[in-house]
Amino acid sequence: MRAMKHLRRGAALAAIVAGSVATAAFAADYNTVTDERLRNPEPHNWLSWRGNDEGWGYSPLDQITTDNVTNLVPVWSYSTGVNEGHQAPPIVNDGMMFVSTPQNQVLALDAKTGAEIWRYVRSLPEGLFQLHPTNRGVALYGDKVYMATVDACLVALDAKTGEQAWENCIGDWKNGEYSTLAPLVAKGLVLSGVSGGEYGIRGFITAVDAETGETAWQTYTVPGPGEKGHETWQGDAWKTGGASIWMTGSYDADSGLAYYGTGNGGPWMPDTRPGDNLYATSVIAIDVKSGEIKGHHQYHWNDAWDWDEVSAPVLLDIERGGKTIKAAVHAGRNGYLWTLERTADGPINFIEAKKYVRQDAFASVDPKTGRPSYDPARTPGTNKSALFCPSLWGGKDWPMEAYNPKTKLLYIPTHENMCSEFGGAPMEERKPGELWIGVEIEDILSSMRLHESVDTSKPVELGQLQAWNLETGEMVWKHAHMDDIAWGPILTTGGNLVFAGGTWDRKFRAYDAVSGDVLWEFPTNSGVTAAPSSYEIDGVQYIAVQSGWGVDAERMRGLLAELLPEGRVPQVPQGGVIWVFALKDKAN
Amino acid sequence: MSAQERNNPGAKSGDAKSDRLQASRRTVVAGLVAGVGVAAARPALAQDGAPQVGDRLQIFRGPAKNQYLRPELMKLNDKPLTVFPIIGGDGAMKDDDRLNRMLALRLDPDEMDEDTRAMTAEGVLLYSALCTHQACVIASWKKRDRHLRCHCHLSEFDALAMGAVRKGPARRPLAVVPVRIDEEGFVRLAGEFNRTPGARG
Repeated sequence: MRAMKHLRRGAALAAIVAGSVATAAFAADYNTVTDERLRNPEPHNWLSWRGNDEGWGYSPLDQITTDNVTNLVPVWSYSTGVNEGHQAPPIVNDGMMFVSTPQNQVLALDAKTGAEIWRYVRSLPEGLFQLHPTNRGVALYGDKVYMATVDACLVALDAKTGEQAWENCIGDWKNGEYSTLAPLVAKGLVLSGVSGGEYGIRGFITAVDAETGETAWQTYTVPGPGEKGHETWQGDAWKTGGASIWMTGSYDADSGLAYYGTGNGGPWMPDTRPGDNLYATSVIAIDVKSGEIKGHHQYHWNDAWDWDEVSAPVLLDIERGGKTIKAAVHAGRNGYLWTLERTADGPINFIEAKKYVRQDAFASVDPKTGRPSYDPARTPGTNKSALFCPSLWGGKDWPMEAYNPKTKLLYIPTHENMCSEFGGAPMEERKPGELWIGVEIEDILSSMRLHESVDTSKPVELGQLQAWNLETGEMVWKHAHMDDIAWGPILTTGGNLVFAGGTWDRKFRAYDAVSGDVLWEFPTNSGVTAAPSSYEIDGVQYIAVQSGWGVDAERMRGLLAELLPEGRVPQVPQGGVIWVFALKDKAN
Repeated sequence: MSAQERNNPGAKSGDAKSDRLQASRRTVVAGLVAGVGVAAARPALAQDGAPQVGDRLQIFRGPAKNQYLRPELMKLNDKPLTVFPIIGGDGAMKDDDRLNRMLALRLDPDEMDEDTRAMTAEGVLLYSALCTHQACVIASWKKRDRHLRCHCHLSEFDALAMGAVRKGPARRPLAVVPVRIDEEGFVRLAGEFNRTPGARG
């Protein structure tokens, strides 16, 4: 645990653009967010990052269905005023929408009309270099809105006015720590963490009192001397071991455990940090009240491929062999779909791992423990280049899966036919705040390879949407994006629909959740890499999503533009817009 | 400790070859200084620590780390060295401000366009290290094209043509600053950046 730093009250660092006359009306009627509401969210709202604690990305609303989705039309849109990768879902509480954008803005809007209620714009340090200039969303609790910032702070805003209530800088941006994830709120605490695996940081999760902003606990994801797991490191490598936290955890309210995925070990080359490197590339079960790590499963040890496993597992019950398993399911960046078993006390048991894309780095996966063995020829090292599949962006990067309890299918945005080839270079001493990767940037930028089976004279299957039956452990259907990628988080609904963007053709699509057929599509202003959400007001179901292309989706697009014939990979326009859709007859 | 060692902690004093190079360079410097019209005297230091005409440069990382920049430390067409200006002969590296971060290249003047050639001394070129799109730190060099490339959005800048944009999404050229070689063979700033470094829309 470490002492709280830089706790400030007031709005010294923030500029707030006051909203319209709508502010007073929304302030009077604001529906306070309680633990009970977060644990059992009303179907007409979207109160948290993935709609529920379990990370499903599911709305039970069923006004929009496979039969009428062709009548979906935009009812309002709103320019965010900033460029880069927009990744946050519109969060909705009884008619009031909260959306975060790159540069740490928060927009509070009338969810029915798009009228602005207030706007918060964070004043970021002039010298801040943002490797991932984005934000993945806000959290609601009480009468406050919480946002993690790229200068490694947590801020609390008054939900009614946007005025800053407090800020707590949990990390040091000058050390390369920064925050992009949506906070998780449970037991009166706001949980956040830091990115920085490419800067030689030591990852951590911090919990802050939701009311006062005071730090309750901080837990490093790389254990220090005397802590369990420290024996998986040698020398001082643990001090710079990475295992950053940049995606929101899922939460099991029964056990009080949050499940967080962790980033790659740092630096990238495995020989710079011999050992398994707990808890890098793992899922950890962390007790929300105390911060104690109660269990873990490491998806792969001593990572060599930059395969962060930061996506939190989706929590659900599945039937296997006549037995109900409290499962935690994760489509790994390492190309395997992991089915794990949660326990009330914390330990996590391995159930199954199945390849969902071409993966050639693992020689095998132990059927009892889930521990993989590696093909040395596919494992990079210092002064050792290796070709491996999937690419460093993995079978699935951060964009989230979704689970639909009606279809009992898990929907995964995946990448196929992309591989990487790189090796490490001898490293210099770390300098705080400087990139410290161990692989030259030009080598990373020239590392992308298409699989040897690919014929670039024809359209290439790059992005996919896959649907998996978790009870049989089989893929049920797949939609292939030819000559396009899949960087879109997934929303699935009670109307048997799946919504996702993620392609460089700018389209936002609705799929039949059972068959995978594309039923509707709409070309937005830019590319959609944000999580969609759904809500209902006055009997009308809405689908909402931000469009604004950038960060790693753009990096992958840029590298593919050099591998595919000219004219096959288009530019994607910049600029963020919030889009809200409804059925045509309802919208009127 | 010799004066040279004080001024250049990584340099070997008494290196005959180095001395010869420095001596021969003095002649070259005189002509180049006139060519780019720099002030002979270093102006008073700015309060904000911004680069000043006459500043030497210190190498930030790599085998020549902490040495003051000299042309012989750079290989023709090789990847750039990251450097920061220093305050005077015994001053500290101004590496606390990313706007001061620069990339030092050594290229063949015959390959450069006329405007770029006017910025160089002995083929040494100094560009701002900040991409003009989103101010990411440029860390990639496409040797074949002589392009500096930003890894954030893959913008490319032509090092032979005043940092002109050769690939989007950046729209503005990289900032470049003229250099000269002083009588001791060190690279010094011979003017100001031709535009404000970093992203400005």
